[in-house]
Amino acid sequence: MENQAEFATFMHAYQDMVFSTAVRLTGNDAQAEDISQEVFLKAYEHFPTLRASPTAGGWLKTVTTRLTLNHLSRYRRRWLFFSEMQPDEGLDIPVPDRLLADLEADQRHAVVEQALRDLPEHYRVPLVLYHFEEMSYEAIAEQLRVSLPKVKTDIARGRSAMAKLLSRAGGL
Amino acid sequence: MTDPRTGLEDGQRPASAGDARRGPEREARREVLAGDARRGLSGTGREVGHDEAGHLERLIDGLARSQPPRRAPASLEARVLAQIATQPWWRKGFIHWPIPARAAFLVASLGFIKLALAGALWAFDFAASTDISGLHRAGDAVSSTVSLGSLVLEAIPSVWLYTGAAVGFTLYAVLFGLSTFAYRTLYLQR
Repeated sequence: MENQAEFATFMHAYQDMVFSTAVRLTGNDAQAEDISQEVFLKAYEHFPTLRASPTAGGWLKTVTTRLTLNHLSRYRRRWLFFSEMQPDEGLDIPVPDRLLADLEADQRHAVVEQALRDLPEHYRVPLVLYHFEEMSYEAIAEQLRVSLPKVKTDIARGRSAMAKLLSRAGGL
Repeated sequence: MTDPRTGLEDGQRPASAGDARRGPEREARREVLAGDARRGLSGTGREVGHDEAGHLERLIDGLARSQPPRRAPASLEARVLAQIATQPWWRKGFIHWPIPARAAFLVASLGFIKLALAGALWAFDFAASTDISGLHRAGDAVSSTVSLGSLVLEAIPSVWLYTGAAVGFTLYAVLFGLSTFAYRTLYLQR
């Protein structure tokens, strides 16, 4: 029972981070909650070592990313295949000096989260891994099992698509 | 507010396991971003004279860095704790098993190892004491199948083979084109 109370404290410290990673990768709150639940059940299995580990946050992030990518893998073949055929649309609006600078912080956060949700999955996943999870191009290529040039192209296209979405939201 | 476990302020991100794996390009990017951060939230890329793609990268990165974590649903903690409470002991980690179950598992594992070793020794003795004519028979069957296949291929006129390959390739290309068209019209338009 004492163990469970300690685990609840542990979970309370990390649940926002785990959920954020899952929800930004999936773009779906319900799926992200299911994945977060799975992550913490795994964490409970390893709790004797995690409870005192200074790298528990990193462990949770890695497991969340892996489980989310596994969850998305049934679609991965499809988007890998079709993302090869996407025309390079480019950014047909001028790149602004600042993004969403006129919005209040809360509004800006909401607009960014909505834009992430609206991004097609084959752009969102590598973009989130690079900008939000701070993984290198090489690590993303390894995780997604695609070539390095493809990762760079998808992230560049994802940025353009995101800038367009932010523009539509009135942020530019 | 500072998190007592991570030592991070609200909205700050904890270090991830990927930190150690990050390449030099990430470090270079950090330096550029640090410079941008000193100029304001998102930086003004034009001032530092970078190309548009690099400027857009820094803008998106600035937004990502200032983005706080999403708040987990209130139901998550209750769901996980309820799941843990209802989990039978054998679904939990070994450390959570009852002591008699752990002892029985260790005894059973030792017995299994002994059995596996005895089985391997018996298989080795058996193989050493029997002839290997069965292997010769299997090899003959494989080579006969290969010979039959090559005879059939030689019997088919080469024009037929080329025509068949061309038809197969055309059908594949048509299917590829149709699926591309269907994806662009049905999926991308949504």
